[in-house]
Amino acid sequence: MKIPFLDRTEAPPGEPADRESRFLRSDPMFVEQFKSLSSRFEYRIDTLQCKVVAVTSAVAGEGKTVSAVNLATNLASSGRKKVLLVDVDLRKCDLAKRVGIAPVPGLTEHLAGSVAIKEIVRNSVTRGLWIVPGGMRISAPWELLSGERFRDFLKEARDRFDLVLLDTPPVIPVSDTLALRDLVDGFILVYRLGFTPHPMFKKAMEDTGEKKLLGVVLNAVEPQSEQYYQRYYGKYYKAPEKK
Amino acid sequence: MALERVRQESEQPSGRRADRIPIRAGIERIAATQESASLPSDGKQPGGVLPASASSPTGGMGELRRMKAQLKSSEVEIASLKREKQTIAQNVAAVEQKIERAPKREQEMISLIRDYENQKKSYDDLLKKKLEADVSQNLEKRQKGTQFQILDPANLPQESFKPDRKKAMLIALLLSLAFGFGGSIFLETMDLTLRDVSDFKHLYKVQILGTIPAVQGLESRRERALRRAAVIGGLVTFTVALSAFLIVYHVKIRTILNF
Repeated sequence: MKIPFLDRTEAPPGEPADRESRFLRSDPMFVEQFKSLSSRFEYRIDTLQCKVVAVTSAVAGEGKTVSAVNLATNLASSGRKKVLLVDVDLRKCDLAKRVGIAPVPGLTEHLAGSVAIKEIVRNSVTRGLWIVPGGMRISAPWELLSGERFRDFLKEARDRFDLVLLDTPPVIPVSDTLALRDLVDGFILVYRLGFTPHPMFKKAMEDTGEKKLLGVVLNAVEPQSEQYYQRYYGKYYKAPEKK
Repeated sequence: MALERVRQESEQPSGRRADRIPIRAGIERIAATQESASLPSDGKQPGGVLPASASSPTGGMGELRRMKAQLKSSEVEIASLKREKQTIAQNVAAVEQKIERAPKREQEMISLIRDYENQKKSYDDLLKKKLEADVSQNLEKRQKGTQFQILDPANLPQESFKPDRKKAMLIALLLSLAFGFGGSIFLETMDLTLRDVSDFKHLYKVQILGTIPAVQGLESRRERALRRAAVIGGLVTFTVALSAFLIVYHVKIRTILNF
């Protein structure tokens, strides 16, 4: 599934403008839900003074990357925060592919010591949003993520950006995210309704620690009937008419 | 015709009788000669008129004896012929009697022939009937296993004995309900995923930052339509089954409700 940039009107170079992406970008209800999510999240991190937040989930396929990209985009587009979105899922490294930037050099190369930090931080089309791709895929990122270079990377990112969002691997299958437990200020857990057994979510919540859990994002919520939205939100969710 | 033939035979002299006429004439001539020789009264010599042979005394005696013998045999023959004649006459009488009785016999013959023909016709009829009876008997023997006589005709049943449709429908209804509800409960028990925000809020006291609506892609739309069709199909099936049950058992249900 292609991750849409909500404020981009054109598909990134090399990304096919498939029907699903166009639908997500043009669905006003989807955009409004993420704006609402961003507002709550911003209020939460401002209250708790959090600058480094990891977006994770119990298992794969729950919507971590979608949530992270849209949160970062919405927060950056507000103009109040400089946001850095980092792909920490070094086993897959598909954030760059989703947003349409070159995957290398990325975080893997920087942690390996081959490139400097300024070479992996990329500008995006959204003002106030910078992206660090994952780089080359590796099978055992635990040492890199628990190493000193990653701490230095996060320290520098914390100093230069208002918010650092980490797109992390799932908690249950791999232990990479647990290596970040002491390095981040908080977690956002994404739970996909009707997909993940709730005992696994409970275990993920226990692994990340409830004290650092900023909140939960519920994905794949069945919308109310179209008549419901048409009745209560219809005039607000109408897309502008094309001239 | 027989009568005519007998008459002709009686009137016509036979060859034997004709042959005997000269003999009879000779005998009569000899007798006349003897009578003339014994007559002396008339003064004439018998020898004067007698033949030469008879004029001799020895020759005349032999001739006489011979003639007597011949006469005797002729008399015997005559007696025999008389007897024969008498016999023939008796035969003729018998034949004539038979001839007289011939029309009666003919009538009797005609009657007998008619009776014979009637009897023969009757015999033929009886024989024909016997043959037909034999044929019928053989046919009956051959068709003995296939011919039945319906003593008590069977009545058509008012309801089918097997399968019992009412029972089958009741069992099907109960089974469908059991499978439907049981399967739903089983699947719901086995499904540990949360379907709704309220479920999540019920289980976890964690702040929900936001919700992301389900992507209405083609697959999700198809899944949603399938789920909706399953629900509608289940409701329709249940309604139809319940209606059929009520239609079948409405009498019993009404009776139970009346009590």
